Amino acid sequence: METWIRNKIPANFRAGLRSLSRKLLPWLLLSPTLVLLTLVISGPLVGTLLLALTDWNGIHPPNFIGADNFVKLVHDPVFYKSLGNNIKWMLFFLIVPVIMGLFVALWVSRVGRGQMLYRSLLFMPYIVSTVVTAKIWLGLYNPYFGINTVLEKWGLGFLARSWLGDTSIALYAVAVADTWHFWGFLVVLFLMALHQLNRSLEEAAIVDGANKIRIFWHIVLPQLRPTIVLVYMLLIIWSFAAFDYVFVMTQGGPGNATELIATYMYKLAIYNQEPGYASAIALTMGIFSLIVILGFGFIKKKGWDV
Amino acid sequence: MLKRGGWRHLVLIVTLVFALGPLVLLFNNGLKPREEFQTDPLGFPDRLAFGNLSEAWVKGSYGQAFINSIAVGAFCIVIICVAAGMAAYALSKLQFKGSGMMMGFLLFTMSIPMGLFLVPLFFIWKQLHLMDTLQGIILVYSAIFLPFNIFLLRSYFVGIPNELLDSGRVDGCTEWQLITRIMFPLSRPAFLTVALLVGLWTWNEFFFANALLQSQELKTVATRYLVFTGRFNNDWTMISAAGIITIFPVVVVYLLLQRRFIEGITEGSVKG
Repeated sequence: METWIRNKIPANFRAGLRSLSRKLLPWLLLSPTLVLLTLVISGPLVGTLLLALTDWNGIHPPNFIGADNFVKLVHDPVFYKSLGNNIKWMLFFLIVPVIMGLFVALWVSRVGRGQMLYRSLLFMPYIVSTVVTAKIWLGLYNPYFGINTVLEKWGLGFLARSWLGDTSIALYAVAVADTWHFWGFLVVLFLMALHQLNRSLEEAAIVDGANKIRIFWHIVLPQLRPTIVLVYMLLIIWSFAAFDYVFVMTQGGPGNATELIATYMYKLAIYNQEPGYASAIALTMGIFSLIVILGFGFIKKKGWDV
Repeated sequence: MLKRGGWRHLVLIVTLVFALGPLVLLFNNGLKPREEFQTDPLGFPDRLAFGNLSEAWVKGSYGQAFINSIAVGAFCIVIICVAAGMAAYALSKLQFKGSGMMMGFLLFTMSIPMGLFLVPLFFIWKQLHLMDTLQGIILVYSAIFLPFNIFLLRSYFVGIPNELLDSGRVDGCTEWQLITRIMFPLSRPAFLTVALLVGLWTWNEFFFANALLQSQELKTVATRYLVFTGRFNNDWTMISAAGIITIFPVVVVYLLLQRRFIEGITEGSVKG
């Protein structure tokens, strides 16, 4: 503050100018970022907040209707169906890819040579475009030449299902395709954490005659806690925003069996011309993820002690 | 039969089959003569039919789509490298009021679901005549991929010792010269990672490209694929061949530089 006053009436004009430019410099450097993010993300976000309170249909000028959209939402069965699907989706992701990623990372970390090769190959699906991944899995789920034909050939025909047609499993079938795409990312994250483990603890435990399961449970897992918490946070946020695979593979069908909040919202905004109501749904979804982020921020502050 | 630890390789090979099997299947289906696909959909081909690829390339007008995707990717890489580089410098090497708030803002924009800004964005884009233009999609991509790359560059910049900058200051460099002559050249590997990731994401992104670009001649590779598969609904030879065309450049670059991809993606996510 003092320097600011001193500089306000500069003895030397150039020095004053330099100090002003030093103060402005950070914001000058940040200005392209601020302009872009305001134009594309935060500006429109304010628009969503306002639209949620209107009956805008995309054509006529919007009318202010207060909380009516939220009242509508509370009575909307499709919203509950989608919310339930999002929760199932989340539980699937918190269990299946995490366990797969963790155990495969553990095994890969014990491989001496060839570890990097495993890592690169397991990560590869992550770089494949979603549109292509979705089509590959549509092919695998195809009743005429997909997994079912293989199952029948191996005499396991009783396991054959109409993977995307059966309302009770379609959602999980889509989730498996998404898992295939990204779980290599989890393997890499866990591998990174495993390389930073304190090996001496483990060696001490082996000397004391602890078995593998006990070592994993009491020594390895506690040290992985920050990574696991981070992964859980990412997965919860992603699960509530999940969209891509359902959009390309099933469009929410059959019926509403694979409808997620994001796909429902998209349909309302684009096909049903109810952007006002869609904004209210988006806002509700945003509040969920905000709570999650704040919750994890709180945990982080407490030193990851869950 | 298996040596100690051999079973571990066995399990890992099973997981490799899970990870790579679908990709092998894609290449298998796309390079198999069409007649063979009908008689034996899952078997390996007797001969490779590279003609499938050129057929899909022509039918899907992939030439134009490649030009569009490369143009979009190149512009986004330049914009993001410049904007993120400047921002990361401010957030790592300059002390100023509001830097913490700025970090929070970046984290916030990085983690909000796109449903929260989609509808007004489309509306604004219509008003600004950016709908159905490549400039429009370049701006959207630059913005949505920016926060992640700022964090990535920032974590690299933090590791560059301040003494280097101080000695530059003593030698009479202006701040701008410090950035362009010291920071950026020293951070070349980090910028390469940013370029690779932005290239990858813009190549693969389909949602905004699908929603914002309606003209056929403006479609990018990923959205071209959506249109193509919609048109050749049941021709799995064509669908797979087009899939190979779509992912081929990415797979080649990945195989050459996988380490940079992997470490860039994971590090940016952890630091953010």
